[in-house]
Amino acid sequence: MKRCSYSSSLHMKVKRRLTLLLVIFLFCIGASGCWDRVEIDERAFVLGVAIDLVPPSESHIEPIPGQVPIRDNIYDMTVEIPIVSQMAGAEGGSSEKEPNWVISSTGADITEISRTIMHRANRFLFYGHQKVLVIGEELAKEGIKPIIDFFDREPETNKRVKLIIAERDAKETLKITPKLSSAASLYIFEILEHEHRSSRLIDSNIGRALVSLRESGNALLARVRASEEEVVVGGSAIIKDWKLVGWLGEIETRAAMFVMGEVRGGIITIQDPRAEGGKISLEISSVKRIITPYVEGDDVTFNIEVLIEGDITENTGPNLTVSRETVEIAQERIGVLVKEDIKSIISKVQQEFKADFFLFSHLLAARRPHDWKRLESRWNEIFLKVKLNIDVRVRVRRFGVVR
Amino acid sequence: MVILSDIFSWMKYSYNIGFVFFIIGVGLGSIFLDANQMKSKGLTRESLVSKWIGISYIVISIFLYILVEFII
Amino acid sequence: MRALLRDNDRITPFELAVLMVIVTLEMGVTTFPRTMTEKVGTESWLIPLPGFLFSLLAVYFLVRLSKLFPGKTFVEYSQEILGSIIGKLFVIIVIAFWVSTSARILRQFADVMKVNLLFRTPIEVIIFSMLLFAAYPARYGIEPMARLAIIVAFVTIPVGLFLFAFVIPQAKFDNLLPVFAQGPLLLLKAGFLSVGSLEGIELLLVLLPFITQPRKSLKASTWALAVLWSIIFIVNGVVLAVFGEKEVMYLLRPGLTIIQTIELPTLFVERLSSVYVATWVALIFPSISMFLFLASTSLAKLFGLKEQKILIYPLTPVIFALAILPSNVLEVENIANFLEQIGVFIIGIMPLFLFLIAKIRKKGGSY
Repeated sequence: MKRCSYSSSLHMKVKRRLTLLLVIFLFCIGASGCWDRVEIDERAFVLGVAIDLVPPSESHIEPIPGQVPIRDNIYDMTVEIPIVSQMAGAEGGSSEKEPNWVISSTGADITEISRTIMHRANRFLFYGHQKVLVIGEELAKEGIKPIIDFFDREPETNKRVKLIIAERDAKETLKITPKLSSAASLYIFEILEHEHRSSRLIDSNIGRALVSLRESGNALLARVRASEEEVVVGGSAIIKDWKLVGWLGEIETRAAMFVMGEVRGGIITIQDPRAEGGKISLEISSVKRIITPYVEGDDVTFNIEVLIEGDITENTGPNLTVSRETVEIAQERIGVLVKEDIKSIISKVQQEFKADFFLFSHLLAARRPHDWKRLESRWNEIFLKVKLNIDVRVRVRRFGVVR
Repeated sequence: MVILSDIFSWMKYSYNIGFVFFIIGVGLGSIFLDANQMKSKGLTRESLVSKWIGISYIVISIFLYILVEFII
Repeated sequence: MRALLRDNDRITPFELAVLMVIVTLEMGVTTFPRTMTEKVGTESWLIPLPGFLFSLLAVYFLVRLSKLFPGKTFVEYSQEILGSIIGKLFVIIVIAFWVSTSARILRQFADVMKVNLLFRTPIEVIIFSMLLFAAYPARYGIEPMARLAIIVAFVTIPVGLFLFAFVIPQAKFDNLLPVFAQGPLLLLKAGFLSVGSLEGIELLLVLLPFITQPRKSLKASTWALAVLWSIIFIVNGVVLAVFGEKEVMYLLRPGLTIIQTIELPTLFVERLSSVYVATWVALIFPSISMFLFLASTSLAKLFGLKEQKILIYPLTPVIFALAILPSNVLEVENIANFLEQIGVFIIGIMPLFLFLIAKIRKKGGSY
């Protein structure tokens, strides 16, 4: 009995000492700090990135001995970083200094440029809050594949980053100072977020664009153009085989979005035939698109049904009142207008760009897998001859507080 | 032999002093905590096993460290 | 039997079910959409149907086996059925599988943590700390772990599914088509192979004798399978519907990347992926504890030790070494694929095989 208690008290002593040792050990680990501690003022939050191609004649990078000498494409990357101290001050009144720092650097790939900027800014570049990725026209014509990989691979960037093609230089779009937003990137981002207000621009983010690009190499991306004090966001850029092949105007973009079933709002205006200069405007409130493929031999037909609902917001026809006749005219004429738009965009895509960015191929593979297997290898030719039955129906739901 | 050289090259990458301390810690715990606990529960065989596990872990870890650092 | 696990050696059927679900939901689930789509293309979201059937069969035979040998775990009955040498070999294979599976989970977890949250912490440190804390509850028997699993389950699964609900607006259901274009045989095969990644079923090899109401264990594990496969069904279906076939096969962990596509109208939580990764941290913790417990218990039984506790910490350096063994993510994926095939052998084939041999050689009780 006595021995037992002696041994247990010895055991307790040993145990206590070991526990103490363990606590000291863990404390040492804890006190030495976390590896990943990064103070917030050591970080630079990247809001937007713009990438351009540097013409070979203008590149002035010295070849580094021992490194890969072939530097065929040299990129010019511009990042927009908000200056946090300025942001806090700007709340009270207008500050003299610019709230953002737009900094550019050149290099052979994105990681390299990113590291160069990191050294120049003396901050860690943090891509977790990135809003836009703008690619310049010249670079987009060369192909966007090598650019996107960095942003796809980087775990910090989310898939919501807007992927935009700029007319002319991309860096110009980040250099503007918007009147009502604190940063150019935020300004562009918000315009694209509110795409449904007009449906004349396309809200393309990296996540959705990559799904389409990996499926077929084709996609429709947002288009911007920088002017003095604002950026014009409207229309879209056509990407075929990861390369920019052309632009779509605003109405064409809307028609394309009708085909893809992504229209959620916007205004359609038609002439009122009963009065000189009379116009009827319809604000779209909801759109439903039903698309069904039919295959007979090598003939592929798509039935596209577009069901539009909307409110009349302006009516300058006879007597300024909305009668049963006005509603009927509006419904019919808008249907015809949208149908013509869709027809012209599809024939333009088939004849001019020869790119299937509506992902008809994907639809065919999903709905008609056996036919798709047969047609898959010849799809590029067959797509040019695809027939369409377009049926647009419009319903006017409301027309404001007067008749 | 190829497998052996693979194992050695892996050990050169990953077997460091931290790992040695980890194994020695486990060994010490086995010898002083578990073995005594088992003894007080009256399980002599388990106590013995625990003690031998501890001793062999400590010896093997140090032996391997010397092997990696100084011999190969 | 009571001498083996001195205290805390009984769990209720409900706790068994929760353990089965929680142990299966580890890092491997985030790669499911990719591996399944690689096998059968767009039909991958249908795999839960045959998968459920095959896993139910495995569970049924495991329960029958445990009825034939009441109070015995697979360590004893496989030696009785297959003979001492082959039986021991099988037990050692299973133990090696558990040890390497927990190493695999730890490594995948550490890679994800390093990529998403802890960019500069060495993975050795992530693995070491996780292993140390996972080993702690494993020392105290099955009952504390069951309680732990219940807490984890009721915190993480609702949070995870809640976050998942935000993804659903992105889904395009055309991506789920075509179905049944390749015939049912491929789907059945994929369903059978997917049983290999359901580590939760292996709990039944050891835990069945410790259930308070053994008659309810079949029902409880059926429920566990149903819950599990419906979670996998939701994850697989939504991921495939959002990304489409090509992108799913391109992404390393579609189940994790999916959370970055969430488009919330307001920007109040910019980085939901951190929250999501954090729920995975909580989910893998019970899995590793449980595999440590299973491996140490089986080892103790194999060598006739009366206490599994003393083997837990001595197992940790082995797991640690295995976890830091692969040099990159690709190797980890290869090892994971190999382990999945071993898993198919252990839970897809062996229960039926053992049961048939037991019937032919007339071993066990007269149930």
